[in-house]
Amino acid sequence: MKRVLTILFAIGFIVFLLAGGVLTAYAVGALAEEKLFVGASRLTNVIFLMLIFVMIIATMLTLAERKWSALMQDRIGPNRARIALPGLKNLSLAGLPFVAADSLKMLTKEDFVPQTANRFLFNLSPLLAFAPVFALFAIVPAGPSVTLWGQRVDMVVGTPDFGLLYLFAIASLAVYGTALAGWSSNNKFALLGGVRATSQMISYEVALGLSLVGVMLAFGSVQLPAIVGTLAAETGGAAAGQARYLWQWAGGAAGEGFDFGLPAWGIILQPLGFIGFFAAAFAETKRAPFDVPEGESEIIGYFVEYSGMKFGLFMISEFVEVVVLSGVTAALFFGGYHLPFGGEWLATQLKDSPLVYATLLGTFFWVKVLLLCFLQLLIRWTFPRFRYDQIQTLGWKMLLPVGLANVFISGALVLWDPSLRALALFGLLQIGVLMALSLSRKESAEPEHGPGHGHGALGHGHEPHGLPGGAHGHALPAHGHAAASLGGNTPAGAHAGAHPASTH
Amino acid sequence: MVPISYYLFLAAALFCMGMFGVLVRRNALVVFMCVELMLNAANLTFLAFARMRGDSIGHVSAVFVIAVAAAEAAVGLAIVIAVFRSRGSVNIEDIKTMKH
Amino acid sequence: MNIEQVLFGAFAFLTLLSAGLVIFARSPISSAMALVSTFFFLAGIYVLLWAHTVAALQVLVYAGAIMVLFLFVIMLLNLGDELPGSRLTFSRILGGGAAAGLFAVLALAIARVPGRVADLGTQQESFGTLKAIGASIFTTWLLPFEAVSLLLLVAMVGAVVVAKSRI
Repeated sequence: MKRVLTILFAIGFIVFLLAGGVLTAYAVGALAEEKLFVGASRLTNVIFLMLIFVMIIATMLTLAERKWSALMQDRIGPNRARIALPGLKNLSLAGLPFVAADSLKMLTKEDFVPQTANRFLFNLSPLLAFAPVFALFAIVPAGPSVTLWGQRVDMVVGTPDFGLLYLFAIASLAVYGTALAGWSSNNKFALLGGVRATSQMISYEVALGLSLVGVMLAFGSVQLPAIVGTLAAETGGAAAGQARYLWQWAGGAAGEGFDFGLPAWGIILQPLGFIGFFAAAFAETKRAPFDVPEGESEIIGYFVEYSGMKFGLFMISEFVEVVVLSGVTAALFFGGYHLPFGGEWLATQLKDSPLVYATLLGTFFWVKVLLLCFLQLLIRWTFPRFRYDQIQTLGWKMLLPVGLANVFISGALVLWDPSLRALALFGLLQIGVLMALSLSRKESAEPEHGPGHGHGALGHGHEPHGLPGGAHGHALPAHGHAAASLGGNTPAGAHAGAHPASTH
Repeated sequence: MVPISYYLFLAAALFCMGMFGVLVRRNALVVFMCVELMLNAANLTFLAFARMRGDSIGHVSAVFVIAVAAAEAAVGLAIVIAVFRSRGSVNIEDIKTMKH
Repeated sequence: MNIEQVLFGAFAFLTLLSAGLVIFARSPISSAMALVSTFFFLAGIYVLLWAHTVAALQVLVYAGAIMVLFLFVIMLLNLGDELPGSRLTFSRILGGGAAAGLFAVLALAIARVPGRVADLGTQQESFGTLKAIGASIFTTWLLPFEAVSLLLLVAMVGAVVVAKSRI
C-alpha cells in the first residue's frame, strides 16, 4: 500500500511540475511578446520547450530507465546514492542523487582521445549526433495557441510550410555522428558499429517516411499544427484536424453541453501507419531491440573509444531522441494536446481564463509524452534483441510493403469518403484484428513449434538453433504491444504479434 | 538585393570546380562526389533563373535533378562496389580492361 | 550592405571553400564530409533565392540519403588515403586549363544576363512553397514526374543487380 501511495504521489508531483513549467512558458511567452517584439515568444519557446522540457525529461529518463526497468524486473533499482547533509542522509530520494552523481562522473572523467584517431572528426561526431535529434522538436506544437493579455502565443518553435519534410531531413542527419564516431576512432569494433548504424538508418528512413504519408493524406496537410487541428470553440469555425469528431454522440457543435464521441486521432485513422512509424523511429533511436550498432555483448559499439562527457553526449542524445519521438508520435497519432473528448466543453467553460486552459492542455500533451516514453522503455526492457539480418528483413520486407499498401488503401479511402469515416472504420478493423491476434492464446499452437519451424508469414523464421521458449517471432516489435496497451491489457510479453505464424 | 548574376557566377565556379575534380581525381568515389557538385551547380542555376522570372518551373526542375542525382548515386555506387570486388581497387587508372 | 548581401557573401565563400576541400582532400571521408557541408551552405543560398522547399529537399535527399550512402560505401570498402602523386602532371594541367577556360566562357555569357528581377507581387506568399511546387508537379509536369519514378525504379533494380555478388 505504501508503495502504491508513493508512486501515486510521484505521478502527481511530476504532473504538478509539468503544469508549472507550461504555465511559466505561456506567461513568459506573452510577456516577451508584449515587452520585446512580435515573434519573441518563439524564442522563449526555444528555451522552454527544447532546453527545459526536452532536456530535463531526457535527463530524468536516464534515471527513469533504471527505476522503471527495476519495476519491470521486480527489483528496487538504484537507491544507494545519498546526499551527505543532515536530514537527507537516510533518504534515497527516489534515486535522484544518481542523476547528479552520473553527471559529475562524466564531467570529471579523463577525456581520452586515441592516438591514431582522426582528432577533428573524433571531437566533432558527438555534437553531430546530438544536435539533429535536439533540433527535431522545433516543429512539434506542445500546446494550444491562445490570446494571453492581448498577445498571441503559440507553443511551437517553428512552422515551416514543408512541415514534416523538416522532420525527415533533420532525422536523417543524425546518422553522421554515429558513422563518423565509428570511423574516426580508428578501431575495428567502432567501425563495425558505425557501418551497422549507417545501414540500419538508411533502411529505416524509407519506412519512416512512407508510414507518415497516410497521415498526410488523411489530414490533407504536412504541417504539424494543421494535423493536430483546432477546436470549434477556439476558432469559431468548424473543428479541424485531430480535434474534430468522427462520430459525435453527445453535446452540440460548440459548448452545448459536454461533448463526447470518437475523435479523429491518427491512431484510429492510421493504426498501420502508427506501427510502422513507431517501429522505424524506434530503430532510428538505436536502442534495444534495435541496438546492433551498440551491440553491448559483442562489439560494444561505435562509441567504444569515447569517454567522459563525449560519451555522455551520445548517451543523452539517445534519450533526447526517445522524448522527441514521443512528442512527434503524440502530435501525429494521439491528438497532440487535445483531450479525447470534452475538449469543446472545456474550451467554452474556460473561455475567460486562457492561461488556465492553455496550462491544462499543455500539461496533457506532456503527460501523453511521458506515457509514450514509458511505452518505449517497456518495449526496450521486454523484447530480446534482433539479429542483424532480422533488422534488415523487418525494414525492407515487412515495414516497406506494409507502408506502401497502407498508402494505397488510405488514399483510396480518403478519396472515396472525404469525411474520413470509411478510413476510420478500416482503422478500427485493423486495431480489432491486431488486438485479437495479440490476445489470443498460444497454447494450442505451441506443439507445432518444433525447431526450424519458420514464421514465414512474418518474413523471418526461427533459426534451427535459435532461442527456445519465449522468443517466438518478434517480427513486429511495436505491433502487439502498441495495440494491446491501447486496450489497457498487456499480454504475456513474448507471445504478442507472433500469432499469424501459427496458422500454418 | 543580390543581383542574379552573382548566383550564376557562383554556379559557374562550382561547376568548373566539379569538372576539374572529375578530370583530375583518380578515386572513383571522389569523382562521383565531383559529379554531384556539378549537378548542384546546375540546380543553383535553375533556382536563380526561377527567382529571376518569378515562376516555379525552375523549382520543379531542381526537384527532378535531385531525384536523378539519387538514382545516379545508387547505380554509381553499386558499380563502384562491383568493381572493388573484382579488382580490389577503386582507382580509375586500374580499371583498364576495356582499354587496348 | 544589407543582411542579404552579407549572407550571400558568407554562404558563397563557404560553399567554394568546402567545394575546394572536396577536390583537394586526400582521404575520401574528408571529401565526403566537405561535400556535406557544401550541400548545407548551398541550401542556405537556395533559401536566399526564396526556394526554401528545395533547400529542405536538398538537405533531405543529398545530405540525408546520398551522402550517407557514400559514407557507407567508403566505410564498407575501408578506403585509405590516396597516395600522393607528382604535383603537376599533364592531366592536371589539362584539367585545370579546361576548367578555367570553361569558367571564362561561362562568365562572358553570364555577364550578359539582364539584371532585372521579376516582382513576385501577388505570389509573394506562395512562391517556392511546397504547395506551389507540388501543384505544378502534379498538373503540368506529371509526365516527367512519372518518368522520374520509373527511372528510380530502374536504378533501384539496377543497383541491386550490379552490387549483389550472386543472385
